Amino acid sequence: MAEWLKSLSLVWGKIIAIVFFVSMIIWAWFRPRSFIFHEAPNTRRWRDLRIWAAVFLGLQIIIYLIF
Amino acid sequence: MDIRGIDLIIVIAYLVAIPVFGVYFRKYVRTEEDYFLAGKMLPWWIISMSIIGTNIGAYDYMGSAGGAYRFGIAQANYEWIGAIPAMVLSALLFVPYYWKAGVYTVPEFLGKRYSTAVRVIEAILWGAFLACVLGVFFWASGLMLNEYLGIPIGISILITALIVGIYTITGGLAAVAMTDVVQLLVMFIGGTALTVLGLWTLGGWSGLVNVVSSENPQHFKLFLPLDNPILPWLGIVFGLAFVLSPAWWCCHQAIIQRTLGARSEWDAKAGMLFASFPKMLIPVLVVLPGLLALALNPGLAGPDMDKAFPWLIKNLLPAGLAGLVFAAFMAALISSVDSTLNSAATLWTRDIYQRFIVKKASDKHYLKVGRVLTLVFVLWAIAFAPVTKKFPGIYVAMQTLLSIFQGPTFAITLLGIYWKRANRWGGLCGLIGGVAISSSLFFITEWSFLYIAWWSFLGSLLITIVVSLFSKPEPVEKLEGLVYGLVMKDKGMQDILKKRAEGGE
Repeated sequence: MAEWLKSLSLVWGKIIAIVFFVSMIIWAWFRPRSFIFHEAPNTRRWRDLRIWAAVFLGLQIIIYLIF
Repeated sequence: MDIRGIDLIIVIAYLVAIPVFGVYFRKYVRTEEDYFLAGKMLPWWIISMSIIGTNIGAYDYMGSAGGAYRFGIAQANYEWIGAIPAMVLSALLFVPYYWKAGVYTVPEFLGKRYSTAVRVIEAILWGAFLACVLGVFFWASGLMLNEYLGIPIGISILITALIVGIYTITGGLAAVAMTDVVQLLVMFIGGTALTVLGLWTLGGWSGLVNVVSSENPQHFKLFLPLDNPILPWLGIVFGLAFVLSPAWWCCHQAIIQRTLGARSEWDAKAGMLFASFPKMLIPVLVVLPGLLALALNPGLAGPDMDKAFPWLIKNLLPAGLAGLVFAAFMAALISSVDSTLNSAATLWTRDIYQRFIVKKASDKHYLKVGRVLTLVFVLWAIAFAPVTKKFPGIYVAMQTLLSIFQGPTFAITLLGIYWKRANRWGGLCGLIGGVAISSSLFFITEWSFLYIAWWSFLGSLLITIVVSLFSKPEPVEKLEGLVYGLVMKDKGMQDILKKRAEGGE
């Protein structure tokens, strides 16, 4: 493995992970509303899957910031 | 292992109740779709619980607790960064396209998107993998019943076959999914009881951290240095989070099949997405026990570290709770066996039998074939299970096989859904080329499978793109409903979806 890779600090792992989670939240948030609610029985707020994705990925960010 | 009366009653009650409950769903099975896709009537919450029941096996209890004993909380990466983002991706990108395509299997989707050749290769790889895994699962259950109840291994395997076979053969996916729900509850109740008791013994979370950190300061870090042989952080991020995890959650037949049985596209997406929630809690059941065992008994060494979980059951739990935790252990195993059995039968019926042997027959015929094939796989697993004893590395070998074709499978599926220019030749060459790259790296280098997965994924991606660009594009009518650009950017289709979402039609 390249020497420069070995010299990378563990902090980089944490940074990449957080950026990854944030990118996924942004990606999910910009899914069209019509796509998200397609075939849903109604369009109540709790059925908005973008919110679900943001909450679950947000919890991951907290976990990876703590540990 | 000591066996106490109340524990025995709990275990036997559980082993009797599960098949009785599963067989109840037989009455809902009339057609092939009922059998393989639960009649497309599963709500999102059942899909979520069934997905996690399928995902968590007895090996997770043993392996993850052992991994946590060795390396600490970094083992939880497999449940967190190695799962949650991929599940979001699967729910909001892959699942709706599988759903729209109206397929029963992932290889069937790849066949529609690319070609029959891609479908056949994928079906053979997945079909062979699932069939072999069944043998290993049966052997593991035989060992567990032998260890705990003292029943000879051969008879234990037959008991497992009877318990799982009876409701999987008769009830199909509906029975499998419904029993998975019950089994997941048993897993959580048993696993939580063990963890709470362990933490109470050590004086809570701070007590656990103090005891473990004094000798193992790295055990509460999620990322470990690059010289770690099993969990180097770079491999975790690039190999696991970017490739192996999406490949598992977006392309694994046993996982995806539950979403294909959803009652609506929204339920399919929500089922996969909500599964993230129980998945996030799984480290409490399988990783924390490893740390508890380390704090209570730091003397386990070498392969004995994988016995951290059984050690806790034996030494920590009072009468009654031990039976409950053992039932949770069996639940993890049985919920994986039934799903694998059902998915193997689906693959072989749809992608091999229906495609090449009897192409146009009645619905009843394929229903009967599905049931017969499920029975055949039960018999196969009974016969194959003892072979795993002669080859102790067989499970590792199968996991290696899985990692060899997972990266390329994910690459061609991702391009198939996201890039309309990807064509049949690109998909075929990308799949074969990617498998060749991962196989070569496996034999030539001594890299971790995490790195091999990353490079085979990139290689497959590149081959698919280059070959597709140098060959004829697919006709647009073939791609409708299968490719992102042809649904999400189609104004007419968007208007229809919008009206439907607003309850207009």
